[in-house]
Amino acid sequence: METLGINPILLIAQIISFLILLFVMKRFLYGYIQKALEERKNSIKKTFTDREELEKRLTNLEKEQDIKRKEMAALNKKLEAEARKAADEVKKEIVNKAALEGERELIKARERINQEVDNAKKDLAGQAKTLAKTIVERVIQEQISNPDWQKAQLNKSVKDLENNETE
Amino acid sequence: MDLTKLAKGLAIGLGAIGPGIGIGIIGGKAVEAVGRNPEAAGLVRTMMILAIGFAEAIAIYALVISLIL
Amino acid sequence: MKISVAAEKIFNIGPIPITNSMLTSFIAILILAVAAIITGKNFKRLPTGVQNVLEMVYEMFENLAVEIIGEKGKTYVPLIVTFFLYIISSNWISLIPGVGSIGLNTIENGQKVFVPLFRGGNADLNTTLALALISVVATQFYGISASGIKNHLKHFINPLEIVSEVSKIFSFGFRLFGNIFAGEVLLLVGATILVIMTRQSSALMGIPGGILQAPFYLFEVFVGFIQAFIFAVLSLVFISIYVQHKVD
Repeated sequence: METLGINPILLIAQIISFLILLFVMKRFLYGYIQKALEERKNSIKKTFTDREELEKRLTNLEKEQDIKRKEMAALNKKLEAEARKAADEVKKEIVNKAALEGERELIKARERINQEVDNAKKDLAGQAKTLAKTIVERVIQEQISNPDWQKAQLNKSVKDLENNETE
Repeated sequence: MDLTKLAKGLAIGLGAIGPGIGIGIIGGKAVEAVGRNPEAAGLVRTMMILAIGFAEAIAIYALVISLIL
Repeated sequence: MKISVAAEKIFNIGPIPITNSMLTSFIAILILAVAAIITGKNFKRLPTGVQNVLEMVYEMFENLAVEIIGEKGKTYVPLIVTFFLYIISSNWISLIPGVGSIGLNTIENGQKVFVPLFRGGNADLNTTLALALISVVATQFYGISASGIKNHLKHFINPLEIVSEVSKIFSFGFRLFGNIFAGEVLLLVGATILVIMTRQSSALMGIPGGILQAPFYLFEVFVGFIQAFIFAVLSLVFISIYVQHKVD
């Protein structure tokens, strides 16, 4: 014991000094550290849960957006189809109208042409009649005034009459 | 003839043989363990240091004896 | 050169002899206590400097305790951390140049004896045995408070268990003392070996001596940490043996 330097008084003094240190550390430091570590752990946990929640929310939002986008796309398609239909109808109407008008015009034009043709025919007929009349008048006048033709005509008539009697 | 110095030398010299072999075995086994299971390196290191502490204590006893003599 | 295993007495306060080892350990305690109080008073949410180090050490042992014992292991962390901080600061203080080399030449029994003013706190068996006693007694105390005195005594049906408890005190105490004391001797030998070999005690010999000492010095820094860690972790493991047992 003597060579090792173990002395009960020193031993007890060292024990007491260590216990004082333990008390001081516990009283002034460890409480704060424990609290700080706990708080830090909790805050880290909280950030994790917050992040998870945010991520969930984000995915939900994305889903909603997706759905909305799909709806929008469907609506767009529908609207486009409707618009196309309407445009088609308008086109058809225009075409129909145009066709109708064209027909009407055609009919009108045909009528006009017919009328004109008729008029022309009438004119032509009138002209031909007068022309024929004048020609006939003139021919008749000439024939009648010709004694030879009169004689011949007379003969012919006589002959015709003879023939009719013999039969 | 004073044999104290010889006794001192023998005490620490012989006393260091066992712990020397022991620490070698502990270190080798720890390296093997880490090689087999690298994820457990931290745990193995702590255990190794503890085991070396135990083995080393024996050499320290011999040292104390040789110092007292 | 004489190496004394026992710490040397410097002066008396009443009946208490104050040794040079005690002086160093008081300085370590003072530094730690002041650091603890200052840090506690200016405790910040975002740790800086000393607070950072203290928190890191505390968290390290808290994680270790939870790993070994479980969630209730957090109760035993303050003692373990105090062991660690006290031992490591005392070990490292004893590495400061001047500890062991500044001292007085006194006449004792007609012989000139050099008495250093400071000596590593754990290079004295009184300190280390005191720590070992606290550790073992605290282990028993925690065991009783965890499982009741009746269940706790069931551990000691085999009388060899009592022997092993007592031997734990010496194992703890001598391991720490031996490592630190051997380290001091190693440093001393490293520094003075040239003086001894050449038999020329000139101050110039200190320069190669210091260079020779440097690797040992680094090794001692490491040993100081390792011994503190071993002491703390072994205490924790022994506590876990008595705290964790199933009550049947």
